[in-house]
Amino acid sequence: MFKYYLKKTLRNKMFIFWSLCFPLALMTLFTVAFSGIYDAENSVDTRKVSVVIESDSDFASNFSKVIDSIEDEEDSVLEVVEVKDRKEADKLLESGEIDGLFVAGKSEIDIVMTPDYTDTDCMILKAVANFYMRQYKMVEDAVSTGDLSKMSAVMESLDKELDVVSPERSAYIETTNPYLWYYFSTVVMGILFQAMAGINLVSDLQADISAAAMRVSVSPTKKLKIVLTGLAARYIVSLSVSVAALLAMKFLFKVPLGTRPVQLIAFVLLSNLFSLSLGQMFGLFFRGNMTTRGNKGTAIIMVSVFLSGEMIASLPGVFERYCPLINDINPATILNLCIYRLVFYDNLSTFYIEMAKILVLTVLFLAIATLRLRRQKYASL
Amino acid sequence: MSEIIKVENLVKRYKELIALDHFSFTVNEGEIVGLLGPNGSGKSTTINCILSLLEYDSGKVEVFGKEMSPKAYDLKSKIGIVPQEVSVYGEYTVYENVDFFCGLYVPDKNERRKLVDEAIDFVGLRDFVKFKPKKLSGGLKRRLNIACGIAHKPKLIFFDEPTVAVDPQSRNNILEGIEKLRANGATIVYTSHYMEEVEQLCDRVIIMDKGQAIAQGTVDDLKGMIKKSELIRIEVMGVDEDTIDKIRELKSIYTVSYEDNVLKVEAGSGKHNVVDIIGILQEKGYKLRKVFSEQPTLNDVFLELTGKELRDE
Repeated sequence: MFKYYLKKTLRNKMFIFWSLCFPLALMTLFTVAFSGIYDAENSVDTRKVSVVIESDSDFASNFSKVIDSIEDEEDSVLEVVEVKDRKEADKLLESGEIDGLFVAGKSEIDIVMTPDYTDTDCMILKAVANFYMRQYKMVEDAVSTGDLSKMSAVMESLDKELDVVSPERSAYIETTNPYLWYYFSTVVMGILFQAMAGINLVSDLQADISAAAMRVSVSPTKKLKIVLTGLAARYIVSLSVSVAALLAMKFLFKVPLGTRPVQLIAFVLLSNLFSLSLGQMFGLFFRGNMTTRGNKGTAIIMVSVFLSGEMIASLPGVFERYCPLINDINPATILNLCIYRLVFYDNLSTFYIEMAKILVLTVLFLAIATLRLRRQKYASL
Repeated sequence: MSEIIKVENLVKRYKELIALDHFSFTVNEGEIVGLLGPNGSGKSTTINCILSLLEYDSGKVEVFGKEMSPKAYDLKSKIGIVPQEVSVYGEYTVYENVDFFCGLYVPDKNERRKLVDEAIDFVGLRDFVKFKPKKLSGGLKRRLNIACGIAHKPKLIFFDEPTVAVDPQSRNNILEGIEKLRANGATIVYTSHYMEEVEQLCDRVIIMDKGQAIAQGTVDDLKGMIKKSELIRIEVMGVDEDTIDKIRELKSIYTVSYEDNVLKVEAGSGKHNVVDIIGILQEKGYKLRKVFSEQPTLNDVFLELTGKELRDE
């Protein structure tokens, strides 16, 4: 039976199309369309900056030294253009000779960008300024209180790389490469389309949906055994399809998948099970025959994927500002955030929170589906 | 003969609609019992209740002498079903479909291989084993539907309108196959709204209407229940009054008339009416030119019992 359910899933052309072929085609399209655009717009070439000191405080004068030291580093992202005063700096900004300007005040640093600045330019300058302000505050606290433990914390943090991405919900807006969001969104779309296999499983078992299921229902094989066998077979196919899509993404389309294989595997395992269980919910609670239920499921997945930024990467950011609930309940956005944070964030706490959400929903869906699918008698056929 | 199915006072309601109204019947071992009735009369509902697929409001269903329930796996293993709709998977080949459904009953691979081959040969699909169902004609799909239901050699088989939308040749193949299954020891419940099939195939017929059994018995029993007679017409020259009177004296003859060299006889139920009449005419030395006999049909039975036609197509 397991072998047959494997065959059945692999021969389901719609399933293979939506979960594998379509995502790969989209990724190819993205690669053709976006190739070079990001590099052109957001090259990691050195940013030309100037520093204007508007205070004689230690905070301001030390900042100038820090910038100079960053410039001296190998592969530095900053090249300092010396200016006499703010007026000259503004002129250079206007003419585009510098990309940005640090204005160091008594205890804060303002950033002024050229009119045609990119997100990445802005983010780098902000990261530098924030980093300095944070470290300065910690040193100041340590010196004033004489607490050596605080001082050692400062030393430790100095060894760390600068965070160039805001660690919380701003992932929708401030990505390192907004085009990568499309690839992850596409992979997530493929995973979500595994729900088709879940719908298919329901149609194989519910005698009130398909006549073949009626035949299965009157056989002496226990329903639970059929449910679990069918689920296991479809799960294996789903995992294989997802792994194929991720490998293609990494090796064909050169999209980074991060350096945390264990968490990535956990994500693939859980997200596929989630999609299957979601498909079971669609199959169980939608009305109509198998085709109608499948079409409704497809429509919902399409909407979910669209809202997660598959076509307009900034869309989740807009929702985050005006109606965060949409992001919180949209399965595609949840899965997207999960894998994106896994790949790009140092701090995985938000990744684990999203994973926990998915896990709870999966367990709930599977429990409901299993109870319903074990049903032996129907009120009508 | 032991009772294979015993249904007592089965009641099934769909809200206001009563699909089965205190329906009772039995099926004996080795019989082919036909459930005959128009669409919506409750035939499929009856089968689904017997198979414990449908919840019913009241009544009792026993199969092989035991109460049927969804968890009566020992009983289920002896039952085969050929649903009205072609119930196979489009993703599998003919062989794989039969093997898959047989596998739900027979876990042993070697045993199953033998059974699947037998079923495929039985329905004549050997040349199509590698075909997917969508490549098969309507008649061949029906045969595949049957093979999937009988491969595990069930002792009790339900055929739910297996010949709907099937060409005459395939229909005959299917009916012959069902006869063979019975000859091999299976007990069969056959539902149809084609009276000709039921007449041809079934030992006993239960005529259903609005969820009730309005009559049951052998085909002859059922035809005997109605007044409509057999109409016999014989083209023969110069029949005299004595011969006509002699024919009138035969048992179950209602009326005899002779006009334009055609002898018209209306007779009640009787298996030998034509033979008896021909015997009398030949005894008197008449040469017969043509003989016609119009038997009452089950449709006539249904019409007389319910006031409407059996076929609603």
